[in-house]
Amino acid sequence: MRFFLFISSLLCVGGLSLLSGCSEPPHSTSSTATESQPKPSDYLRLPLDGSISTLDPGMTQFIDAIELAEQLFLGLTDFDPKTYEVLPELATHWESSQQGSVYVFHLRQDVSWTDGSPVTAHDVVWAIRRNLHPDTKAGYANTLYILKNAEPFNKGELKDPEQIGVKALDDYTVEFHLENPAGYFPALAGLWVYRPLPSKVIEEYGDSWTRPERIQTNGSYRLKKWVKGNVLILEKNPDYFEADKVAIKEVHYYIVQESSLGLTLFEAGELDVLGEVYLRVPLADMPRLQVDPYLRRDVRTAPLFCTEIYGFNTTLAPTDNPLVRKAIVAAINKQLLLDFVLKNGHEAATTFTRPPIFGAVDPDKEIGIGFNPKQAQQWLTEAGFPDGKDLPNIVLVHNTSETHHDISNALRTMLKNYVNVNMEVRELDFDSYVDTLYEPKDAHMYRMGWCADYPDANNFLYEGFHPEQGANFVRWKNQRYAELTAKAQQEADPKQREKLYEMAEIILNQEETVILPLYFAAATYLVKPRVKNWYAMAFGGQQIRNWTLDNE
Amino acid sequence: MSDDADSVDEQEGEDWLGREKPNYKIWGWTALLLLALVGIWGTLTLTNGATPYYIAVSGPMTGTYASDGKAMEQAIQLHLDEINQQGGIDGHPVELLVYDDENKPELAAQNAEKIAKHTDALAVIGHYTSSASLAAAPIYKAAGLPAITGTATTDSLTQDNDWYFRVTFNNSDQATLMANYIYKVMNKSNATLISTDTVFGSSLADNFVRTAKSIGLDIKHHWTFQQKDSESFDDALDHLLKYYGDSEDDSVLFIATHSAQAASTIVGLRRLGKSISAVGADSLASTSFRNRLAEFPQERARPGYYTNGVLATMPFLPDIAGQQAQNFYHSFLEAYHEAPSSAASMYYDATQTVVKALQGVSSGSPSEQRKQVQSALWQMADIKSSVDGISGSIYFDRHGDAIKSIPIGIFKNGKPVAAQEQFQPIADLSSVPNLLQEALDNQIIYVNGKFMRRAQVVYVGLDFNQITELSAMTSRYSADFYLWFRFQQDYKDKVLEFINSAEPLKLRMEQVLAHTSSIEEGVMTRTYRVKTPFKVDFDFSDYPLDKQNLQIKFRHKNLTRDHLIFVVDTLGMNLDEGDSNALLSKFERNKVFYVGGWQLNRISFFQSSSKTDSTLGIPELFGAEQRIEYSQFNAELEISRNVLSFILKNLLPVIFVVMLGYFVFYIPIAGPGFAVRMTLSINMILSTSLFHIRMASTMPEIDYLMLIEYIFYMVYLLAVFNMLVSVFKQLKMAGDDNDKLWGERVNQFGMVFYPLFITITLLTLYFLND
Repeated sequence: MRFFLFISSLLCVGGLSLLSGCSEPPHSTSSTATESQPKPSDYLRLPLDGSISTLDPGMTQFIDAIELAEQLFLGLTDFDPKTYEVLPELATHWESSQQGSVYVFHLRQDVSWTDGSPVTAHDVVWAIRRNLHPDTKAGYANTLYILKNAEPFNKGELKDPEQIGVKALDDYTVEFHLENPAGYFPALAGLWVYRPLPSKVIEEYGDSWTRPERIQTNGSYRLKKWVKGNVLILEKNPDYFEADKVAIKEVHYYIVQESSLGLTLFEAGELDVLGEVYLRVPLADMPRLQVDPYLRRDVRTAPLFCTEIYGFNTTLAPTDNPLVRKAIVAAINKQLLLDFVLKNGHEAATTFTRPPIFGAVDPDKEIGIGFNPKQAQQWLTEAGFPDGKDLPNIVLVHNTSETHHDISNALRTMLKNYVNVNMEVRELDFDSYVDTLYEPKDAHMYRMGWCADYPDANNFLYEGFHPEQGANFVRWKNQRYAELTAKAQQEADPKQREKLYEMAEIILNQEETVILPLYFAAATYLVKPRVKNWYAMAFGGQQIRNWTLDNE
Repeated sequence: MSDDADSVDEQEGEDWLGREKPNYKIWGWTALLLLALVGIWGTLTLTNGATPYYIAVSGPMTGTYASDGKAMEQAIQLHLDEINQQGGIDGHPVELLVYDDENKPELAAQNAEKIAKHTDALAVIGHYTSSASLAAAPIYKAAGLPAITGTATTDSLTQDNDWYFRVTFNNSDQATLMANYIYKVMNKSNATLISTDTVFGSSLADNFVRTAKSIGLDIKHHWTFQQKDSESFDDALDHLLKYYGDSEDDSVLFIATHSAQAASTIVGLRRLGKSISAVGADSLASTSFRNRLAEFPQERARPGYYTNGVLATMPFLPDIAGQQAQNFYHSFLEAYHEAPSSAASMYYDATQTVVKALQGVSSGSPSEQRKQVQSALWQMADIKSSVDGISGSIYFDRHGDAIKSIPIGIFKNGKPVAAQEQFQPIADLSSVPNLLQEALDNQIIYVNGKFMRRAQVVYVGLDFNQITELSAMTSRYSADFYLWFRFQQDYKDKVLEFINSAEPLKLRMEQVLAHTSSIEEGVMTRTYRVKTPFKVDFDFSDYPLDKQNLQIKFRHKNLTRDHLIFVVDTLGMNLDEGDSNALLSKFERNKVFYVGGWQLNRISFFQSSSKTDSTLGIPELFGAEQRIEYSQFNAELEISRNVLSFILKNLLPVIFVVMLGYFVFYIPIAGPGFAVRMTLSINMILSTSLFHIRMASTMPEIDYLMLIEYIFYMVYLLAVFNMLVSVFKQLKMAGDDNDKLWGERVNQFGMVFYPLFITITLLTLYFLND
């Protein structure tokens, strides 16, 4: 009986199996690919482009040096990462007097050099005098010219450094005398050339004072190791006054020559951040990055303090006519330019000073001339050129660059499309382009990018377009604008300054329309998810002291 | 008394001939054991004995929007049933946990807590509205539970939340698109808008206004109201109607409200008696919108009375959808006896996406598995890794939003159909020589990171006159039909490629009509007659229970999908979504399908994409292929064989042979009995093989087994079995009584096994074929 049952079962089950085909066992092909990454490190890994130019904040000129200066040396002031409001750093507070031509900065008394000696007001004074010395040849010395006698001393016209408008009232108080009142001076005071230096070390060792075994620093990080051409390692400075808030213990800067290599290292998990000072993200790779399931979520965009504009030659017909200028500006669809030509994260601009720099206009206020082809046509008609008839060709000049070439051609296309204005585009080598800025001849419009030396509208509006004191490549002579920007420069009350700058922007962009603002620049970064609290400073070095690492 | 062999007295265990009686106990236990084993085997095969996966759904199962919640649940359950019928996911059955949130944020949050903390759900599908989803989102994020919505459109839902995904478009996309549509397609430079203060309405309005400003569309008025205050809405609507009533302004009205208020606004607008264009968002695609309109007798009596000409973004449009959508439509109709709504379609897609993400999940704790599901969803980052949804390919951008086109529908006769112009994503920007110029010519727009080209929609209608000459041998059939194209701009309709034409060079389209509409401005129709053979891709694996598809497929030769989309002219062909049998009746009435031995089951028309992924040799594309896609029109007739007639004509003799084969076991082995048994068995093989060969001669050459061949092989096996049993018994007859007993028992075993084997084989083939 058992045999019957067994044979029956065997035959039937076997037969059924044969007929149906054994169902394959469920195979667990994992659809959850995982990155093959090395074990996460507990230090931050950043690339730097090329060799490090200097660690001396007084000699800082290029972005790599600016980045390291930010980690190693405290400035008198710092900037709020969101609003770029000037904040105390080495200074605890300051006050101005004599209508803003004298500033007294009071310093923290708990800051020391890495050898333990205190950082004092004398170190600040010494540093400024040393940076202004003609033999030092400091690249940013001109940002010190706001101080009394700074420029003549720097140019060798004055010999006595004591004459420079900076002195230590005591160990922790610095007094600045300015050439003229400057409401923006606290912003300048945060720059690298204003930062204190260890005088004894520099006097002893000269240019080689920044060698690892000699350098003295006072910032949130200190130098641990430097293998030139390879890696520079910073470690958290335990004596930094807010050391308990610094979460990342070590920062490794690797010298990586090419952006594409940097991207490869980032993808392999060997770097934590890429972009701008940490090697620009290769544009050609952006389409791939935007669809990669892992990398696309690492993409970040952050503002850069630069505005791309085209200036008008206000002394040459027909761009000497404000109506013609307004018509041209109104006929440009900036968003279209950004979306279809540049295809990146820049923001369309209708004003000049880049928000959120102090004194910049809030874009929601709609100051300036936006895209309005109907209005453009109306203005052109009022100017005596209905439908662009009889309007001479507008000559536009830019320096050689694929991006500027694309932008210029887009402007030409839009002008023809919306207002039937013809434009001739001339691409020049850099020297010829610069010559044109100074002597435009028959050029009606020229490309003018402007980046902040310091985050204050004075750097844009006064230094860019003051009819006498500014670069003024547009050659205009608007007296009201001159008065407003000069007054704002000297005004101590920030609210008043903002109002004055707003009025200046209205004149610049809306009433006289001497420029065509195109966009506020932005930079693309790649940031690993383990870097928490990341943000990018649009100006100066990065505030790594506020970032954290989370390896979970 | 008698004790010799000739005695006719029955002994115990023997019949009246003195043969051992069949042991019915053996028969019974054998049968039971076989059935039990089959049952166990079947269950194991189907489920592999694995634990179920749980998916949760949270939506408005009760309350004002209960019809939307019902649509969600029905669509999700439909797909899960399909999956479970196929054996589950990697052998795991999938169960649905249903939660009711009435679209209320507070209930949504409560449900999210329950699902996240007190169930083993590996994913959540829902919620329905933006506000409910937003309330639940932080809970899912904190708990590490992936969620996917098919209808919540607010942008902020997926931003900064790695755990929330969306298979439909978001508010900024649809608002941007509609602003562009008004300005560039409708050629209107002014618009007004009415919006609610909910997350949905305000985000739509903000994005619409922002886009309008950037493209030059002037906003004349913006009326707002509070969703929770019906008086506030009445007030806003009164102002709106007064504005339009008192002025000559014909600005387009953009409706950024939920469905109920949208319906009231449209009704009020129409009652003004003026020709004011109204454009809306996806709230006009919902069942609630249509239900609300159905409350008005004019709309009930004459569908479209209020809504004709209203444009809106539609997550799903049947006439622009593909074959999968058609199959879904029929499955849904069959399961629930009602046509699926747009929301049902989106939730079906959401379920497909979750199911794909669940594939390959390895064992572990629920939180580990949830993480795997999340990771799998993020892997759906491009076309190649996408889910083939009924609303299109589903894959996600860096926020977790699906990257797909946004269909624009226009209401006609109360139902949305594809608008005459659509915007389609451009797959390959390098194929556009001057992107800026095309933008200035209003041919390309930019929608939040996506370049979209204005594509012409051509409505295609097809009316069959006759289907004849179906030949399995030549794999072709002949079709005679009218084909028309209805379009608004110039369209070269003869530049077509009939993909499955059997004689492409000889194919001629004879124009029979060219008509310009007097109702719709600028709309032209051209009609052709086509008579030509088409190829059929026969699949005989289920022969003779096979179903075949007679298809007509064509695409434009030159224009890719971002230039031209073919859309099924449902109105022109009178295709009523509620009555799929109407067309079959028409075919029968007009004797269209004229092929003997076959019956027509289903007729469907749908649009699909003819796709190729290629670099086309462009170096910049090496390593990242671009998709080249053409819109393809398909007509498909599903036919099946008349099985009864086939069996009677072709299989009856084989059935008789099988029946005769059973009698072998009743033929005594002694004397000529053995030879008779062997002869009968051999004849089973010979006669069956004759039918086998004859059948094969009527088929084209194929390299797979047909269903009917399994039957033939079964007969061969039975014949061999018969012979083995006969030989065994014959051999045992020469032995002692014990041997003879064995021989008899084997024979009895054969009596049981023979019919059972046939039954089990036929049942297995039936279930495998189903």
